[in-house]
Amino acid sequence: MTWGDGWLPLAVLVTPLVFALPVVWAGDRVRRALWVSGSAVTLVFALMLARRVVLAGPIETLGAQIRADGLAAVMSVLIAFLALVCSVYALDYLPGTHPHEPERRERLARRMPMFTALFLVLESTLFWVAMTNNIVLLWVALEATTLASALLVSFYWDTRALEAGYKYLLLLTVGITAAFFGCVLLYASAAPHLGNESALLISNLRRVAGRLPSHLALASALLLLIGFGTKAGLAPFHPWVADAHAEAPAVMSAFLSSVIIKVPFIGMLRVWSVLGPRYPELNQVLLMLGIFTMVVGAALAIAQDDLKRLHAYSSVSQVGYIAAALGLGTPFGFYAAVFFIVSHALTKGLLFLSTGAVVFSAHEIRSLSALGGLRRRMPITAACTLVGALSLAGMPPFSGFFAKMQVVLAAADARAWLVLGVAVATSLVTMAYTTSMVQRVFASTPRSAELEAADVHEVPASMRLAMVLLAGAVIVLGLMPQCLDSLLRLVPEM
Amino acid sequence: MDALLRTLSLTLLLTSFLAVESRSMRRAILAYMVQSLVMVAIIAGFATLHPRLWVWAATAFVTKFALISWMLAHEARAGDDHEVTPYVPRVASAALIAGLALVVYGFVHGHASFLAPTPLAEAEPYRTNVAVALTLLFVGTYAVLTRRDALKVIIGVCLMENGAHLSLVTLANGMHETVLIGIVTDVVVAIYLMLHLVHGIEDRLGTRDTARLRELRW
Repeated sequence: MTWGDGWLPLAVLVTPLVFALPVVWAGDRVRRALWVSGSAVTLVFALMLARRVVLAGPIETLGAQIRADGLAAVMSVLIAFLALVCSVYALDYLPGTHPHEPERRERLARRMPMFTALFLVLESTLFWVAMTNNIVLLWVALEATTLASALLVSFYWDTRALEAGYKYLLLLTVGITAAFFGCVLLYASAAPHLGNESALLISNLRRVAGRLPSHLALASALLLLIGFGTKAGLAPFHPWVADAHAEAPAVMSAFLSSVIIKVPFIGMLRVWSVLGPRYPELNQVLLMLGIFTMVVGAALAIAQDDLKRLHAYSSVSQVGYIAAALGLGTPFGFYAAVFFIVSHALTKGLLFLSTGAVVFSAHEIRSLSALGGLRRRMPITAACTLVGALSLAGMPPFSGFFAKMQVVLAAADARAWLVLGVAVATSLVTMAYTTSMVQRVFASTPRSAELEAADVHEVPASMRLAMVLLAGAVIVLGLMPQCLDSLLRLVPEM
Repeated sequence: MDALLRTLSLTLLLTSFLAVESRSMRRAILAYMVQSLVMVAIIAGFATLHPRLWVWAATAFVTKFALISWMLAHEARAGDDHEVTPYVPRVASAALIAGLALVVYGFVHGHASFLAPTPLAEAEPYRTNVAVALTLLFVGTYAVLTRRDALKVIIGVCLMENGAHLSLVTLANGMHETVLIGIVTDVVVAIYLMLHLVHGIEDRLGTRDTARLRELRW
């Protein structure tokens, strides 16, 4: 660790904020250019950070309040990449939505500066979650991600969007309050051993984990699980997920599912790596929650007719895999969890963007029972969706195959046969609804007169580019899963 | 001082009851304002023992008493003063809330050693404060679950946040001020955004009745 590198994590954190200020006042073209360039610059810094962490270990700065370790580096690159892809997609997506409602388009155009600025602020808060080494500021940062995203979820500002935004903000704020009690208890338990300032630092908690009163450690971990679990969409705290994903603009749905519901696992990973080895019952709780979530999410997904709600409940099911892998409490489990986070982020981001493309072209039709026959009219979207669907279903050679295989192998290694069985069974159900989705949307013929009469064609270039980038990433990670090894092997050592 | 702090803490429970059960939104917000002032007084009381908490007291005054109360009052003025009829009738609700408060307070106060991270935290006034903090959390959750009026739901969230703040003052008062400022900033922004969304809902539907938010199911 060298103080001289302390600027790198700060550069990643601050760059989106720097670009967020001018976008509020810039004209439309300049604003879009600033958004993409800000995201690109941030990605460059994130890659530099990752390289630096791999070569020389974690970086601490601001009195160890910010700590960029392997986990933070992985998540930073992931967040930055997804943010860049979303900004490229939004170049044509957001101005082009609701083409047949000119009043609504004009109203949304006036809200675009707010959307762009908040998206960049949101990106910054996500980096903060990844890099903060302060247990209470972790809570602050997580809540900040909710606050920054609330108006993005309700961007369309119609009744449905307002309902979704209200539920999103209310449920997450209530849930995270439980986590706050957990943070306070954990800090208060550690402070007598470490001192008031040192007890705030997560990296110090490991030293005193054995001296914390066991009932307090357990109580605080469970409260943190409620709060972080609500944010992550774990069942039974998932009711907000489908509404928020379905009613937000596709670019926001993609970001929600790919990154926002993943960052709470950073908090879980950090706390569980400290307390899990001493309290196996915590691992059991997380395991059971993961299994329950896998099943509930899959059951709800398979019953959906709305394309976006299907993907949302699918995300609920998939975060169950991450929770279960964490609950195994082994280094292999931690590795599998983080690999799954990366793979699912790319896959689900792709699926939401491709769904957004379908809805964009098909006159806002989202119902599976009304869609159909879009393969010839939207070949690139169809191909990208197929890549995403196959990856989600766990088919080789896509990243999802290796992600699920890691979880299954980690479960076998830990002799967690129930997890293994449920993971495999859920995979089969996932395969069923993803292949059904692809067939119903792109194969056969249009199932509604409106769609048949509509002039449906492939989406603009920026949207195609964004989808192709993500599809490429899913394929590359599938063909070369070891490409993340240098970062992922650092995760169990955090 | 211990007796005074305990009395102030218990006053928080009374103001919570009034904030939840008042059918007039203005009276409910007034009860919340009184609660905020009592919170400030409690923090100031602790500040006589730990001088750095004077910053905490000032922060609580600005955020809870001034900002949040003003935002709530502003939204209440713009709409109907009378609360939308809640799911639980008045008498039953009053009995439920009183019973809930008694049970939670009694249990936590009687088993403070379970939640106390240090021997000091088992003693008064900390013991009472922790019990009141958790009771506020439960009372606030009750309001969120049983109230149809979106503004009353937000008041319930404010009560939960006050419980969290009281636990922070009681158990973690050695924390640096910058952390506290981060926490209260989050709370103020959260309440502002919720009120902004509620205002949008009221504009669209002509009511704050959350039971009318039923377009999104499963």
